[in-house]
Amino acid sequence: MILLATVTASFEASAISQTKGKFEDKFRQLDESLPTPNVYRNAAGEPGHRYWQQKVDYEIKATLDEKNRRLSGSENIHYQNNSPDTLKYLWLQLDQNRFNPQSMGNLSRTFSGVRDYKEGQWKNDSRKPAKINLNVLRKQQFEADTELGYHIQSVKSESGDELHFIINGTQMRVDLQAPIKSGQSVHISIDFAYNITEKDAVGGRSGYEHFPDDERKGGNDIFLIAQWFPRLAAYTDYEAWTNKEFLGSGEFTLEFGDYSLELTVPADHIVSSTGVLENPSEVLSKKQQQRLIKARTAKRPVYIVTEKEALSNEKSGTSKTKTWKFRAENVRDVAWASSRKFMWDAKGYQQGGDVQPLVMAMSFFPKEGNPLWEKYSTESVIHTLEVYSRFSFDYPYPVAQSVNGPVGGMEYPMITFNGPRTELQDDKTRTYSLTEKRFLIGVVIHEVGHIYFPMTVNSDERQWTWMDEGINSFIQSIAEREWDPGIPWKRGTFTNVIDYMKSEYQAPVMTQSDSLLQFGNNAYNKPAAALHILRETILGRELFDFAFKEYSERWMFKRPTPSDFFRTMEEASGVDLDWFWRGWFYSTDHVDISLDHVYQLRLDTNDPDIDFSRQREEDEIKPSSVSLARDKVEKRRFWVDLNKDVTDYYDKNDRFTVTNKERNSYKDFIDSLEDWEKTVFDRALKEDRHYYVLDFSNKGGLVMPIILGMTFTDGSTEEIRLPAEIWRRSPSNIRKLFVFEKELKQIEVDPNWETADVDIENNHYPRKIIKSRLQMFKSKEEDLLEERDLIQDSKTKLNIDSKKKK
Amino acid sequence: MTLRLLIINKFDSNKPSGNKLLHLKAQKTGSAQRIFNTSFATLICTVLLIMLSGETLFAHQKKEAVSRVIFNEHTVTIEVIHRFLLHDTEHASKRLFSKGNVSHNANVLQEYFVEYVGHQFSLKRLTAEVLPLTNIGFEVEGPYLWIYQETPLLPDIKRLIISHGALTEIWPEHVNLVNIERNKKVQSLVFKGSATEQEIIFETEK
Repeated sequence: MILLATVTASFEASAISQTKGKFEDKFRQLDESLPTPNVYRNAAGEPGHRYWQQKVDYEIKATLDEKNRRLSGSENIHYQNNSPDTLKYLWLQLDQNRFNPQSMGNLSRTFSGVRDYKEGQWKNDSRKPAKINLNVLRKQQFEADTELGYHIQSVKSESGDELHFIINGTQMRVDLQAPIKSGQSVHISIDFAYNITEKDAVGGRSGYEHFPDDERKGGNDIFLIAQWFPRLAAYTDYEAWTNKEFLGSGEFTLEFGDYSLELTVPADHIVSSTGVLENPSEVLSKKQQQRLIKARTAKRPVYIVTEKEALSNEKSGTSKTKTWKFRAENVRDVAWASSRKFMWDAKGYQQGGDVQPLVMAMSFFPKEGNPLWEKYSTESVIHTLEVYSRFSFDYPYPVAQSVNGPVGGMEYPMITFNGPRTELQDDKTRTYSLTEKRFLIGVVIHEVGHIYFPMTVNSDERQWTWMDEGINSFIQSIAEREWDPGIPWKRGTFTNVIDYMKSEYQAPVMTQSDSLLQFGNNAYNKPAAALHILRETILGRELFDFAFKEYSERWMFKRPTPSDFFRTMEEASGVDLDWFWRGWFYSTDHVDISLDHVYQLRLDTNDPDIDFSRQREEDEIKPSSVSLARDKVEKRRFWVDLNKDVTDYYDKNDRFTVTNKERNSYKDFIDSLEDWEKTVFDRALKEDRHYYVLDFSNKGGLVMPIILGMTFTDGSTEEIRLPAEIWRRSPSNIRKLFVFEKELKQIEVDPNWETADVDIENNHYPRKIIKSRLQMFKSKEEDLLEERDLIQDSKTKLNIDSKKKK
Repeated sequence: MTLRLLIINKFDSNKPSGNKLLHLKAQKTGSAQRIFNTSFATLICTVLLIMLSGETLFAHQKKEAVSRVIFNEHTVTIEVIHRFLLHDTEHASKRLFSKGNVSHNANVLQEYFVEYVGHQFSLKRLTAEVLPLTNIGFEVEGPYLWIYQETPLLPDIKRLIISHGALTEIWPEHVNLVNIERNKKVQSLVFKGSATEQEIIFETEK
């Protein structure tokens, strides 16, 4: 796949540059760089008539050994080969092996980050001491003290025969007893175990968090369990077996299937999992079961496990166990969480429709999350479903969950892990700042949004992070704005992306996930900004929303690639966007359109009695020469003044004098006009419009529409939007004629700041001196109101003047 | 919080005589105490313990901040504008400064954070001459904390050595992007992990 990408890139480069002249084709057809449409993925960007994907069903029994923080399990896998190919072996993903100190991910980590994106720098002074982070040492110590990675105890066939397998890093090949032909299936079973990582020590997207200060002796843990069972690697029409090692950034490429889970945990634990709880009567009290039923129709979230019950749980402990059973259908993964610290609230979301009329939105959190979580987590889940469904499809699963633990934000089908916490104050209450509240709402929207992209629209995260993170961040910002437009949400601004796009430290969005230079800006902010611009500026909401919904519906429960997205958006909107994908997704160009010159023109009448007079007027308003002015000051006497008796015709006429020769010529010109030419000419003279020629240059390289805010001398304004295609034959410089009834006073390029133009100084006619941000700051007062913890600060007692007190 | 690694010896492949073993010695940093005033020294002593108490990195959304170093010919100054996510600064401040007898007041923590950035970021000329940065102030706008510094623009700056260790010492994955903007051209440096000091050469010097 790496080879393919390299070949494509060089092909692309040679295709759009040339040896003669400097022309660069920013509008080159993208199809020559995309995979050829075929019966699996057609030219419209939708699944082809012979589209296929594998199906993998799992029955998994797992036991959480809390004391030793170890998970052991056995899984029965049913693999359905829907491909046209015969498979002699299966590849599985062993993601826990990523944490082994000898993994490719760990061994390929560098000490000082990247060095090669720019020539001629990194002159670190070797006399200076380097620095090492305590977290890095902590990680190394944890890895030294804990055996990490899978222990694969057995791999067997359906008949119980041991199957040969080989482990290659985070991948395992299982050799089958007989090849599975197209349409056939196979059963295998695997026994596995691994030590659960401490999230705060080694990072990652799962693990345990220890709470040493809880009243229970030894404290408590929250376990977030993900990437926890050997999962089938994806076998696809575009790559066959996914064979890209899990290095840490590129997430997961997975198959859909049905899951049956039996999770055995300490009896006082509460478990949240992908899927529907099948045995509530065995794991919940009657009262808790009744609360769960009540929650279905509640207006606000209802506690299933109350704070009091959770606090009681976390103070004690038990040696008994319970088994929680879950069933999940048509999901690409399962994850779960377990802790005796969890309280649990729920509220039914009456979605309507035929797919899932009722969705249970639920949250699981320890006391460290309250009172923030009980107020906003479950409500944020529901808000997410309302907004995302409008842009895509009805939420397809029976539950949507938000779980608090050590992971800042991570998504799985039907379940998300979210990190915001509250702060314990001296008066034993818990409070939170405004930014923490925004973090909670934002991260829940983001992670629950991922249940649509990529958990349902199953893009390949290992290769193209933007397809889930970028698309999701785009809709996230809409959902955030629809929560409260008054909040300055991070995703709703181009500020981030402007500094990133003009920097030297970047790679095209289409770069493979593990090779991205700035992960957040590349995979989240830039594609999200691109989609906003595509929606609001290029296509308009009507065309964009239809095409985007079409993409979502086409690829729901299927596996789209970038070309499918690009093609669908074009095909469904009816707009050729090849230039847009090239610029925003395949290049590191940025937007910087400069208005360089403005020429004001007036139409000549060709009538010498009018035109010569106008020329005389223009000549007269020119400043006289400095020499003449100084001669006059010196009262210099000129020859013509001293010899007024010597004159001729030219003393009474100047070069603007009109003779019949010019008048005859004008008459000849008028007589030569065709009727229609004369009509046009007469009308143009009568209207006497103002003509302007504007010169623009494209300094950033990225071709974009030119949006012009025109202000006229009478105070009126007009907005003109020129399509990006204006750059097609001249991508660096273009000149455009405008004709107005009124005289122009000023012009501003991109007046609404909607194109992420990095330099606004060159956007103005006449030029403006744009104060730098620092200079602007100097002239205004500080505003420190945002970060206050109002809940805590409001407890402050008023200081009473001591004199008055007396 | 970072520890310093002192290079005891160095193997240089370009020098045959330098073929010696490379030793790295971990040393608890003393620089923090030196650079901070007395009240900060107390705080920094607690940092080591705070670091061990937890890591709140997003699972897959990396932390990133941007600084701009702008050569402003109009004002004859080098302007430095740092932009941090407010939420990052809030968590970092609490971890760096909130223990002990120090107030939790958000405004105070913000001021500490600004001072902290002042110590973590520096500009030097190639001559190792530190360009004194004056703190102009800070503000909250949108989801960001903006911090402003400036120094006089000297006429003969051909290279800059930039140090930036803010937040990378707390979060190893944190990335500080620095755009150096001069004469409408942008050059970039990235500070991540242990990379805290780098050099930028302006084009006329190449």
